[in-house]
Amino acid sequence: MLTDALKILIADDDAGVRDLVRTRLRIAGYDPHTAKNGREAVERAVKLRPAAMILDINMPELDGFGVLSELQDKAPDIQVPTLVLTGRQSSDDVRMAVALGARGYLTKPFTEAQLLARVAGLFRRRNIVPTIVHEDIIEI
Amino acid sequence: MDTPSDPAIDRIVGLAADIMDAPMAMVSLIDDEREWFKARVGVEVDTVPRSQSFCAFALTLEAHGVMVVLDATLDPRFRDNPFVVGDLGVRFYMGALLSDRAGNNLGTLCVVDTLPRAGVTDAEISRLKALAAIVVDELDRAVIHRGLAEHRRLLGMAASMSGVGHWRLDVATGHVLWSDEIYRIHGVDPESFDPMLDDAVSFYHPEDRPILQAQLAKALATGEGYEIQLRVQRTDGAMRNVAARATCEIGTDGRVSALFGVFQDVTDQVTALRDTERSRARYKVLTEMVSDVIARIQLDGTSPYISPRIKTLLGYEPHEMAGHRAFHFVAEHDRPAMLGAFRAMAEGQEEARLQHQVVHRDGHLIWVETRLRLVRDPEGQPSYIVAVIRDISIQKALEDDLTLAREAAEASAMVKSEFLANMSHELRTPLTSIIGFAGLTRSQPDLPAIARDYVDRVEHASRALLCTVNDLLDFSKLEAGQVAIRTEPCAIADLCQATLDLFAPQAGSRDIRLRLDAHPSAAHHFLVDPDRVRQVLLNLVGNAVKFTARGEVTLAIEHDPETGRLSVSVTDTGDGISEDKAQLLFRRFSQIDGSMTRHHGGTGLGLAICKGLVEAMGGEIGVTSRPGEGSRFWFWIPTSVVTSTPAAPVPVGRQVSYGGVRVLVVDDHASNRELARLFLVGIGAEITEAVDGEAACARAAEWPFDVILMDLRMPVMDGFEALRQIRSRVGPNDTVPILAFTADSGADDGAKLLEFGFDDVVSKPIDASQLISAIARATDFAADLPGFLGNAN
Repeated sequence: MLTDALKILIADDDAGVRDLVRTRLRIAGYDPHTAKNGREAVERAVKLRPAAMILDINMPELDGFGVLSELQDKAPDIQVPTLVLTGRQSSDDVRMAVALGARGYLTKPFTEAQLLARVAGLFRRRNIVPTIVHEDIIEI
Repeated sequence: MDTPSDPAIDRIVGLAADIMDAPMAMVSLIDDEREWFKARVGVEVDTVPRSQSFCAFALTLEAHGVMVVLDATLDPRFRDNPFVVGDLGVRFYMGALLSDRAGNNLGTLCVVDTLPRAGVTDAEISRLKALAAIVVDELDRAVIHRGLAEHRRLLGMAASMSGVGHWRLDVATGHVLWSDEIYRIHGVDPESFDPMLDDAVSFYHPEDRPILQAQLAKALATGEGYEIQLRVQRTDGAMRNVAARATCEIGTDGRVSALFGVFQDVTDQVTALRDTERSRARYKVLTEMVSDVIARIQLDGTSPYISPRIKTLLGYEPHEMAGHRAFHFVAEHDRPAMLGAFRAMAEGQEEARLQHQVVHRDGHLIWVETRLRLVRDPEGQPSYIVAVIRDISIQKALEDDLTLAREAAEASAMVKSEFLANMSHELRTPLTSIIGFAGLTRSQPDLPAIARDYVDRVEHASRALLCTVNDLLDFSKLEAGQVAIRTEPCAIADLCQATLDLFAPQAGSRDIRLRLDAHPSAAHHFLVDPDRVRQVLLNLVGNAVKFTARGEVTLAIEHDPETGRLSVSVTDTGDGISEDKAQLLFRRFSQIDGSMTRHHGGTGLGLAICKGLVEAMGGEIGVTSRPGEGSRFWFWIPTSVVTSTPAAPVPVGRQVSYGGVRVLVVDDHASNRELARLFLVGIGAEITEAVDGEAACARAAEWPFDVILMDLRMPVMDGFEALRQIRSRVGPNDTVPILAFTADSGADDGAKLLEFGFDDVVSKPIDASQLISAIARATDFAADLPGFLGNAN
């Protein structure tokens, strides 16, 4: 059974990339949903409340940056861990996406392992944040 | 008025007293308030108020007149004068006017007695007048002399400001006289060095000495001067370019008795000139020596002296400018800056230098550089300013041209590299589908062997296309000089074989044999940048296969331990091209033959990229070819054999790939970071480095990583605090695995580190397989599927 916890929204205007990622993720056991452009991505994200999102940067009308900032405005309560897809490794693009809340990026073309490893990263949780540095550890 | 005493005038005053048999005699100069004695005999005071002056009355006479008072007590003008009624008891006065050529009365030469006289003879009058005339001549001479001295001082300042000196050679003695500036240019001390001709010649560059000697001989023979530019070696060894101009002085016998002229250090100009000539031949006009305008400017802005050169610069004769303040000729928009400089100097600033525009007589603006220097009076107060004005319009025009050219070039480069970057982006999206679906197809069970082979070909082709896309990006980086070369140990023969294998399908379909000719000297690991070498090989082999219809393509490698050169060549049996066309191949955007490109496809950038890459690696690339006999493309790069290779990277199995895993390596020791980089780059990781915990936090805040390798003990911020901060701040790395990178952790301590929050421990000294498996465990790059889902395939 697929649960909401495995729901992933894929937004890319290129049908090939969209279908490829959807197929890969379905095989891997996730519950993938797609959006064909930025507008649709915002609508579906608000409705679906996915556990993670894979977001192309270069899309017509509303690009990936626009999606990130609209979601912050429209639905600040849903914080979707997001992986952005970039056609080129432009450090400006990555920094901007991170500043808008993205948690990772993937450069096209990517391998299956890269895709799955980074998606897995979106689902990683940590509860323990150390607050005190123990003296005896410092002495190691 | 208060000029220094003059011994000649002192003697004349003594003579006057003697001739007139008087106890007192003076040369008296008078202004509105007082009478001042420039020379005096028998008188203690040197100034007298004008109201008490005898001479003041003489000034009302016609020029060259003589005033005689036989008995002052009987003269109503003087009988109450303090010098008459007082202790001095003046009775007799005789004063001859000191009148200049224009007829102005300046003062008197006078004799004074305490006894009244009955009369004076005509002879006495004419003698005193004659003496007065001599005094006037002497005063004139002194004025001229002072003017000369000042002029010389002005010249001296101008010389040191413009770097021009003067010299003189006495032909009979061979003695050479140098100005201070020439001593400075040669780097010798005027006190300890007194040059003869041979000494002066010996300063010149050995190659230049014969030129100078020939010029000297010609000048002595013909009496004609010369102008030359040669090299002088200073005593400190520095080579300077100097320009010398000589004029001949002809003696009474009609022969050349002396040579004199100016001497200037023009090294800066020569250097500037060379730079300029390199960029633009049309600026040859700069070869003309720069001539400066020199002006003396009073603090009120008027200019009592401007050198005649001003006519060339501004079109005015010097006297035409006399009535105007200097600002009048400065372009209006530059006046505030000039005024500011003048104010600063009036307040004591010693020097100023401004680039500004001046207005020519016909109205057009000219760029000049003005250097100002303050001259102080004997009391140390600012007196006037010497200005040296240089025409820099040519340099300015050149600068403007260069700026425009550079801006245009930058704009065009930016457009081009932006275009290439965008194009590569557009190509990456469809490539994602091609590579991705090919992979999916291959993972289908029960795929027929033939279909698997087709899928492999699709993958090969798409990877080749990806290489082209990367080439485009590399090309724009090469254009911008941004290609970084990263060397690592590489089995070059294996790399070559792998490259040839890539082209096997293409070659097989066209009856081409691919052959590797690896010399035994190349059967080692070499320190090269394998990515860049592979890129060049792909291009050269790809071209050879593309342009060969049948026959053989041979890739040969050899290493010469003597020169350290790794030589690679790709020989084909294709059509070949002529020598002159071959040289065009490596030019960017050049096409040998448009039809060829149309027929064979390709960007035409490949060889230009190869050339850029090989040169970036410090090597050389070329081609030998003849029509009908095939081509041989070759390149060499400097490299060294690696004797101890690091443990081979863990072979990556099946679909598992570490390619692209992003690792932040944090360590304060550069060697540790470098070693980690060496191992990790081998498995395709992208490495970012940080030197301490603080830098690590900064990098982690702005860039997503897959894993962080964290040293524990570091200055500024240790690894524990860095982990705490990265995990507690919301950011792209707050859940990313962090591995403790530690020198001495035992098993117990390792447990404590895990308890603290580290995901794993990597111990130092660094072990390649331990490091790689730790990264594999921590990231999901090692597994096909997310661990918590299990294997759903």
